[in-house]
Amino acid sequence: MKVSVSIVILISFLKISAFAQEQESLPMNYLGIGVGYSFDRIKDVNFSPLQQHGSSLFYSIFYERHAENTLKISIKYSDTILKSGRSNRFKSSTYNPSVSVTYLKNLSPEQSSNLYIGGTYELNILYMDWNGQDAFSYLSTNGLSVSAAISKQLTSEKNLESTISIPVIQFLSRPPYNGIDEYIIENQDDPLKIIFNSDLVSFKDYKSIRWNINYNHEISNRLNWKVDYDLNIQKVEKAPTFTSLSNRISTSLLYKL
Amino acid sequence: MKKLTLLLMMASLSSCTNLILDEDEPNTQSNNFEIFWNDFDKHYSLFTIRNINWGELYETYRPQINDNISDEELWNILSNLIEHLDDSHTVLYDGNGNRYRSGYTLNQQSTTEISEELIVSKYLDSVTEVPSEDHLSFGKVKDKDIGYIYLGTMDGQNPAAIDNVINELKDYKAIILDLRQNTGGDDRYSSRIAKAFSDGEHFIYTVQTRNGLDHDDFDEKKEYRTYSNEENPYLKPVVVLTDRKTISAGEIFLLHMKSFEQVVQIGDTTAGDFSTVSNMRFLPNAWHYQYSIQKFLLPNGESLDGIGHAPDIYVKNSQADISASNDKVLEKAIQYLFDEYQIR
Repeated sequence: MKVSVSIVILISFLKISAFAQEQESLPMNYLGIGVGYSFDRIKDVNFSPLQQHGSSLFYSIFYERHAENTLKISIKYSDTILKSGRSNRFKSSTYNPSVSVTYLKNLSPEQSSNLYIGGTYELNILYMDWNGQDAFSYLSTNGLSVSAAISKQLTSEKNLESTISIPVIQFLSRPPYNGIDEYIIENQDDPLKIIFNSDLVSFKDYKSIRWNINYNHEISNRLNWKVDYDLNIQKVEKAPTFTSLSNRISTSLLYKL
Repeated sequence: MKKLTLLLMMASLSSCTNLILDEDEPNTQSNNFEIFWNDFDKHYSLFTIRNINWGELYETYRPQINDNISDEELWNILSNLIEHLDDSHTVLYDGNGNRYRSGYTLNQQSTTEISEELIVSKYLDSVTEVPSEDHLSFGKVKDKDIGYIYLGTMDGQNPAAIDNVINELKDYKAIILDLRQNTGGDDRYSSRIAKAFSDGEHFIYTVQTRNGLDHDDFDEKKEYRTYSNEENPYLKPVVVLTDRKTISAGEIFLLHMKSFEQVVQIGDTTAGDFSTVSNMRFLPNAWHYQYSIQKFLLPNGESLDGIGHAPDIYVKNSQADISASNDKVLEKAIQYLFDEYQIR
């Protein structure tokens, strides 16, 4: 229900903007796949007093629609082993799927440098466990962020773009104070029910910032090559506290539809 | 120039890490003790019920810790500390196969006071194992009109398998349900197994999970009841056998069973450890541990944690009994069914 409300708001916004956009310029549609490397550090007090750290491959598939304004839809997934403790003896399995939809409105059309502002809906799940669920924890967020971007057309084939997103309406799901409670025990066979048992959180309780910078090179009429760097910081102040820092470098190929 | 930019970027990312995340916990003996003691202080659920003054124990054990003591000395201190809890759901592991379980002496001793081979060879006509379930088997007591079920864990996949077992045993005049050495598992499994013997719905216990810094911070009571069974419950006499290692979900099962009219408990007092255990907790030195995070209360508000289910008829085997090929507990159950119901 909470997911649906956020999606309806975003779709309404998209429809209004798309109508305005249809009258202005021909859109370019891209379908892309990407692969990257993620360097992660997590401190989840529910899971452990120790910092978890590690690196992993991640994969993405995405759709982009560039006209005067921009629409981006992406699905990303990574799983990895994070390490902690003396000689990194604790090895925790970590799974991180995410889905995001971003709409950016161009505030300075028909210039080589463009400034965009818009919104992102994102569902992001981080689940980790140790030794077959002898210990587990999770963080699930879904909601709207405000996004701003600048792009610079370097040449006719090369483009540089940077986007920053800060959440404004977020539903957060975290384990209870003691990691397990009667609700989790009763619903242990239905993990989605646990992960989506979320509360609307204030900016004070949950802070996050996502920054992306990418370089896009048109290598043929049909194909673009892109390199991205992403920085993602998340901080949950409400107990059990959670902090994560993720640096991601990735590359992708975009096929012009 | 490009290399310089890259180096600057790496340096700024590194300092960004230190800004966002504090330094990791140092692996010193003092810090391992502090994390361990504080974690229990903030999360362990049974200080009040088990009448433990955790602060006083800190004053006793903290002075014994400095960063120069050996791992073995730290292990002994932490083991001694948790022994005060007398809670076999509290366990310390060193990651190399060694563990210390609090209050486990009697539980451990009871493992020598039962013999599966003796039960099968001397007391049973036949034994059938239920293939889908761990440690669930059934048979018939030799020369008696009594069925026998052994249930060694509450961790199976399909508790409804008990219905087939009851169907096989339904014509016997009584059932002996052997819960000795039951290692516990899933409370839902316990309640479903108990349904096969249910004479109706009874309010049997409440559960609360600790949810705050104060030792007495708990969430709302959640009430649990037995299932009613309108189909084919086994309502003839049932004797449940227990020992010191009948624990956790095995004891939850007894909460269900003892609410039914036709059930009697024979054997030794159970372990007295009811709570769900915490997630595994971690120390910087790679040791790890678990503890109780809930309290279970009877409908009258009393707790059996640290006490266990006292049997209706107390009897236990010694190691010598087993060596002499006698299971006095099982014999007492057979005798009870004869004395009370003339079942032979």
